[in-house]
Amino acid sequence: MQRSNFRSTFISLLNARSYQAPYYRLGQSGRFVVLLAGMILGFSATGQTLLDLSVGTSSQDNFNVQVAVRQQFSDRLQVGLELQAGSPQYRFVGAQVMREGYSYAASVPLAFRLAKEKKIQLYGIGRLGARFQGIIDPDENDMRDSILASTAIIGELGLASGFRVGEKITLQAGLSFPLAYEVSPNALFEYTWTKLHFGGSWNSPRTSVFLHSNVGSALGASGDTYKYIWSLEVGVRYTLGNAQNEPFQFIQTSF
Amino acid sequence: MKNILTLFFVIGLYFHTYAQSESGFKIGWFINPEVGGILHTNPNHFGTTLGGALGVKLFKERLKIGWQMYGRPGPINPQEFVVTPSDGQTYKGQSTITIRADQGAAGLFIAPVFNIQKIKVEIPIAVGQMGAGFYLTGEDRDTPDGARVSVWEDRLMDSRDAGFSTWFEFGARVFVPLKHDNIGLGAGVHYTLVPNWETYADPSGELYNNRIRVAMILAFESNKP
Repeated sequence: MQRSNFRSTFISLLNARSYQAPYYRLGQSGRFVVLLAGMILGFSATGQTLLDLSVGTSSQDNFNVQVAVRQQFSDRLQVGLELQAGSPQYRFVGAQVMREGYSYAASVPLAFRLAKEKKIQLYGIGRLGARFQGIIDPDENDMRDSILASTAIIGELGLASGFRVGEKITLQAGLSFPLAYEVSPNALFEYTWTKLHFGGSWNSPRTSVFLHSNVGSALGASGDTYKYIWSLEVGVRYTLGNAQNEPFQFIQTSF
Repeated sequence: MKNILTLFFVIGLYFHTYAQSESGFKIGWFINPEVGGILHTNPNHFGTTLGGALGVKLFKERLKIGWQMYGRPGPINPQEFVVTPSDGQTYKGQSTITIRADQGAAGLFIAPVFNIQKIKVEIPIAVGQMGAGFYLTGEDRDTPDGARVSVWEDRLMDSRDAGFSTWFEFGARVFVPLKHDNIGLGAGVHYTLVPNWETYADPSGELYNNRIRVAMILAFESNKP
């Protein structure tokens, strides 16, 4: 009997939507904003939080927007949450090209400082997340009455380096290997690429302005998907809370 | 992918063991992104490559060991090849198909490093795997029956639209520091061998075998002599 009560309580908590709590009265975007604000406030309370806002364009998207919240837990470790929304121009669903639709991704980027010299630092970078995208009007009947959606697991592993040129300028370069594995509607290895990063930032104590470019050859899905990817990203970083840890000489590029 | 993960694990373990403090840091590291080109013959053209190498520097930074990876992507290489499909097939009513080539190579990278005053000279040796093939391009990627384009590429090129081979590369690279010893600019010349690589469109394998590859390299690396 007790077990049954526990189970029903647990299920009702999971289905907290039934309480009509204010959070669940919000739309999807409203919930997203509340969640993000909560994360920022929560992180700020524990010290150094970094908020990155950026826009970009790429061979995949006409334009995209990124919001990332990162927490620097120590001089060596930074973990965050990155959300990306894009307007696709050349993406794939089930290894078939998509030229109109939507694309969203949520991922947990990780960066850890591996080595440090006077002006240069080496970082290991990683990422794990999920990407949601879909083709609007896949049957091309001009009715825009259906969507072919896809879900993929995304990941990235690599090394990057930040070099301080002067008091305010930092250059960075890196080499990483992002990958996407589509799990729905098909299970297939969508692509991986050799991502060369180049970029730089102008830094003041609390604000940085950055520019990143990424380029590399790609492969996947028996050659049906990407063969080459490039992207360009410009953004601004705000440091929230007290700078308790030594700042990284590096801003992680988006996926 | 398994090899990449293993390499990162080993590099991470090294750094974890030795890089606990700045003074205790024993080994060096390097990140060398590069833009290069394969000097193709038949037809003569320059096949632009993008890639790089990363890893650790041992023995007072006199030996680089790491992972090298580069590719010759089709979209930035406009050279096209005209091929007759196998068994008298046609594609969209045409008796020939126009295709592009793409390639990727990855493997272990080892390079002894010598210093001549401020200039660093490397003798890189790379051993790994190369995959390369030919693919339909432009509107030909929209297949007549809606099937995936790789299905048609297989069919038209007798399931030999792409091939794999062991990849060897050796050469020489010269680096000069840019203002500071941690960043530099390099140039390299390499000789590439891919024995036994062959495809339907290039049965001799000469597109990539016995080829010279040049590269401009950016060096972000430690400097702990």
